[in-house]
Amino acid sequence: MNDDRKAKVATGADWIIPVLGAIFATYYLISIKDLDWEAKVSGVFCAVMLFGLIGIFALRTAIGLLRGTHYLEFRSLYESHRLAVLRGSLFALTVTSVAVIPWAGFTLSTFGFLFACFLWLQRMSVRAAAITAGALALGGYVLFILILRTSFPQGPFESLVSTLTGL
Amino acid sequence: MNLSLSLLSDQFLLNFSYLWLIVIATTIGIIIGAMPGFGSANTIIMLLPFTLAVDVEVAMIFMVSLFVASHMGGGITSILLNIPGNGGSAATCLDGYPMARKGLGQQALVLSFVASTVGGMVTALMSIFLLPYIARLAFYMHSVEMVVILLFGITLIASVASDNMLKGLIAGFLGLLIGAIGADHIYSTPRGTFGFIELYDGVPLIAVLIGVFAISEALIMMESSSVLSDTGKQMMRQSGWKETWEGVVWSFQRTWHMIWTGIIGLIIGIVPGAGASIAAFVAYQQSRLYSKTPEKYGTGIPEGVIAPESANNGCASGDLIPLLVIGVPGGTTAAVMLIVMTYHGVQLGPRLFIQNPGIGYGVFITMLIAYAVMLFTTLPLTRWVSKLVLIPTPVLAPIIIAFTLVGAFAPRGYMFDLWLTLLFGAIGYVCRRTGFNVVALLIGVILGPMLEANVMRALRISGNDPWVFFSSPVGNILWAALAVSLAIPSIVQWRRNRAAARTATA
Repeated sequence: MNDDRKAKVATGADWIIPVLGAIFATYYLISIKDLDWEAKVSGVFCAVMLFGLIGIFALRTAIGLLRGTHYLEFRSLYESHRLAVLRGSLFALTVTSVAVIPWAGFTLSTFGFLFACFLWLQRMSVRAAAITAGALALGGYVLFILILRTSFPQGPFESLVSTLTGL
Repeated sequence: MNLSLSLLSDQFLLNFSYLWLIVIATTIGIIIGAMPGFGSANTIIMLLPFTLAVDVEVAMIFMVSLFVASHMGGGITSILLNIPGNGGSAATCLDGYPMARKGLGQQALVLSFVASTVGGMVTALMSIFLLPYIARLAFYMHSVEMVVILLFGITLIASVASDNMLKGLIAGFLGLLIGAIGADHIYSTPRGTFGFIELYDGVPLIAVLIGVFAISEALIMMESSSVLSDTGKQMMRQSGWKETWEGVVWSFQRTWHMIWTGIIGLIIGIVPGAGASIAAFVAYQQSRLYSKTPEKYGTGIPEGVIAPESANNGCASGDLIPLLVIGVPGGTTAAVMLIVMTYHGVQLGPRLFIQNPGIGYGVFITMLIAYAVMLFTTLPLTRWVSKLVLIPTPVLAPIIIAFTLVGAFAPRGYMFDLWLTLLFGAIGYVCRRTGFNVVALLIGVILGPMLEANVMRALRISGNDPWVFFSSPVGNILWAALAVSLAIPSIVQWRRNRAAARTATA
């Protein structure tokens, strides 16, 4: 990035939240249009304020772009390709882990998630990753399932332990 | 009310004979408090068979110790990982985490422990001696007064967003709108739920908390191999007992700060329905407003850790006052305690202090001893606990995600909440990367529904007369306090600017 750009305000990625906010506020207003005023007054107030603020934000950005004090970019969202891949992988692994919980249960899904993360993100050896992830998943099982009795969906591991030990 | 020295000494002796139980309960409480999603109320419910099987005095000692320890525990992860253990410690992240990043994690933990202890002890002592008078406050706190108290909290949005006011306000109002999801408080008609029945009760706060703090923080962490700066890492590696002592000194240099923010927590705690999160945010905001250097808040200063920690422990004392004096629980944990006490045949309300004053005052004696126990057990541990931040982020981030997701699931047991947490994680990440303050978003989600409920209730009672908000003497005093607290920083700034201008022209 050259010195000329450093002095300017980057805009583009910071439009994601206002756009999401505007879409949600529009949906919210539509969802409450037939309700009594008491049920919608608070939402209408917040939505109108949000639209007003987004309007000011838009105006400020537009003036900045016209004057040349702002420039469009989306890089601030992911910084670099390497970081984008790392973060994307971590988030994708988290989504996969949540998706398999109903079948795999807490212990196996946690083990799989941690094992994959340690291998991929920390570049641990397979053995070290398996031992660390296994110890953490087992610790989590003892703490959350056995002691705190969290009602996570039961997987093959929990069913097996339950059958063998009656816990 | 029969307060006598012999009664207090009896209670001290009783508590000392159960010191082992207090140690166990406080240890559980600190661990539970540090885990997002696992509140003290849930833990007491899980241990209900124990509390119902033992004498009422023993049950109360156990429950009260666990309750106050959970308030202290919440600050640990806020400071070290930027992930609040509960809503009450969310405000601690604002300055606690920046301190940890600078390598001052150990001092920040000590500040948090000492402020929690001093705030909790001072307010417990005040509660013992002023119980009959303080309790009357609860009778004067209705919807109108709650509206003003909540507005105190909401003004924090502007404070935390001072770096970029417009983005902060957008995040705050988006939070308020998200907080308005769910069935309305009068007709119970669903609003903005996208048709999901799981959202009829509103957006679960824990899912938002874990998403915008834990998940997004874990994603942000990946930008470097450690959460610490290079200097911070070096400082943290070399830190020892000297840093613990330094934290103690910093704390007691701010004794008055701990006391008055603790009192704010006590007063807010007395109001039924107003919890530790409001107390902590209001105390942080007030601390910033009356500071000579408000611009330093958010950069990692001791006052920013002391104010919320002292207040949320002061709130713990306040929560129990309406429970004991009028039989109205001030929060969820107090409601669970009410059930246990009722099971044991204890009659709450003014009669408690005539029929069974030992239990009434014993609660606060237990608090005093529990805080002392916690301080002596946690202070030596800060040296090792603070080293948590030395774990490389590629190892730490997945562990945070895996275990905080359990916290998102635990309160309601819905898989839906896990997906919601991931959604808020993504929103939180975008907010952080683009300068939208996640704390402002969270304040909106926490306070929005309460504000709406109280505004609607006040209007309903008054026949939709807006002047109802200025109809109560206590409410008007609070309005004046709000106006003064908003005006003072502007006046101070104006005077500083004028003085600077005079110096420049001279």
